[in-house]
Amino acid sequence: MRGLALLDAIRAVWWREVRRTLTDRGQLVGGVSRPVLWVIVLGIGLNPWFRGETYGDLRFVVPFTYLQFIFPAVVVLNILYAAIQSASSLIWDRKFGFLRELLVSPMPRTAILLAKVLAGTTIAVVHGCLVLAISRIAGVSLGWDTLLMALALMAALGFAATCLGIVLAISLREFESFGVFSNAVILPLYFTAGSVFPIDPSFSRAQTLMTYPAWLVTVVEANPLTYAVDTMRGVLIGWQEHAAWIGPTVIGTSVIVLFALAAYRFSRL
Amino acid sequence: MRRTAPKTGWRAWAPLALAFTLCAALGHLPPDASLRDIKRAGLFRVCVPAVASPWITTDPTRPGFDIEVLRVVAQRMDLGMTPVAVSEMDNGINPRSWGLTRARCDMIAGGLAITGVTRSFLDAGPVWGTAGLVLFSADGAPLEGQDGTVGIYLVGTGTDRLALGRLLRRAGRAAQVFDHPEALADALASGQIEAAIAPPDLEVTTPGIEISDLPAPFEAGGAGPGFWKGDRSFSEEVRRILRRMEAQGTLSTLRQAYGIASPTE
Repeated sequence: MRGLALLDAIRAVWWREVRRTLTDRGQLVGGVSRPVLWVIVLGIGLNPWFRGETYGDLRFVVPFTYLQFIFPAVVVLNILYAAIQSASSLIWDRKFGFLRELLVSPMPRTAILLAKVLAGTTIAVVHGCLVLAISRIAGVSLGWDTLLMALALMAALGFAATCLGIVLAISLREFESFGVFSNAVILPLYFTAGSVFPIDPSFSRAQTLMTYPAWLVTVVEANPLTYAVDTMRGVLIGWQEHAAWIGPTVIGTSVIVLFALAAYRFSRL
Repeated sequence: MRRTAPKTGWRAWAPLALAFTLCAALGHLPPDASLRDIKRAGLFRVCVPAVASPWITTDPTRPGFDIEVLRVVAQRMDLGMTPVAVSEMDNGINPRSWGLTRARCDMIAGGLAITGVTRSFLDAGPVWGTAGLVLFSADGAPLEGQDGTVGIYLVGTGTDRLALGRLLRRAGRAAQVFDHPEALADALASGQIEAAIAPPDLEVTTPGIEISDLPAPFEAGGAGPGFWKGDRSFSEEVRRILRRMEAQGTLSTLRQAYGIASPTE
């Protein structure tokens, strides 16, 4: 299978996944409820506790509001959920025999995997855009340049997260256990990525260690998602805690390593 | 048992379109109660220095650019506007000693410099006029490598005064703060001070005194209003009115009346 035929096969698998997921009301409810709960309910609920009260007071001197702070993290959360859930289709495909049909087709396994990963990426970007649609309430202004950079970052994140989801899905045989397992992966990753608690940007590392327990700082620093959330903040609200090159490096490395891992696991199916 | 056939064509994508519409609609909900509270009170209070010409003056017929702009804003919001004169803003070198709290005022104005420092504390902007500082010295001599006292007249609020103090200490220069621009110009003319840091519109008639730029962040920049972080519904409303005033030429007329350069100039 070569050239256009291969591309056509990839497109067919990609479109099947995208169409099925993006027209599924259940998954869309999840895609809408997360930004509603995290940004509109939690963000607005906690916003007054982090807002400026005294001009010149050094407590909570941050160049953003809590709503702005949490907004990029919720974009990442929606991408993670959408990407990893889209990978769950692998379990269904395996259960109902569709994957067997695909595997015996002339389509190379890497191409099948790539189509599935690209589908997961597309779905993740669309779910990320659902969060961007509520940017007005968070006070995040989206120019065309910001939007394009955010879309590129969302695509890279979605790609890596779908690969991770596929690695998980290959390891499991039942759909129910995938739901539990994915939550056990997504939520700890999300909560330990500096997503919900702001760290004062004027803090040095020594000051951060005085404010937070050392184990939490270590976990946050070891979590690759920390740098993805940080980069998304850099793009959407123009503030990031870590050096600008770290995020793209970590995301790029994750894309390569996770795709290689997914390809290895997929080749042994 | 009848099975429902899957929807095809555009109808299959209707839930996705609905999801985006719902999110966009929810994004227009008011994010806080600041505008509601101000409307309930019937007025908004603005913390300003007692004098910061041309932004705030003591002349009731020409109360200052910021006061006049905010009066128009209040009028268009069908509200009152009360300036709260904070004397600490005139004299104190450190914003932390100004005692500005949410309980005291709803916004801050009076030649507030829109800088990174200001934005750390406040939701600052838009820039509605040009403010900033320059160095007046004999033959444009720099701060470094010279002796003598430097006179300072700061009309704007929000200048990073601690950084300005550090800059002067690094240059090994003593500083003397002046309350009025005329006093500063007189001191420069009489030789009481060797150089002056003031806004570029300071009237200096002393021969040989030239103007030179100060390093960032003290170079001429923007001035505008400051809102408390988190008061988005109020700040958005004020910004919407300011955009309309800019489009209608109201801001430009007031700038001309007070001799303030437009931020785009």
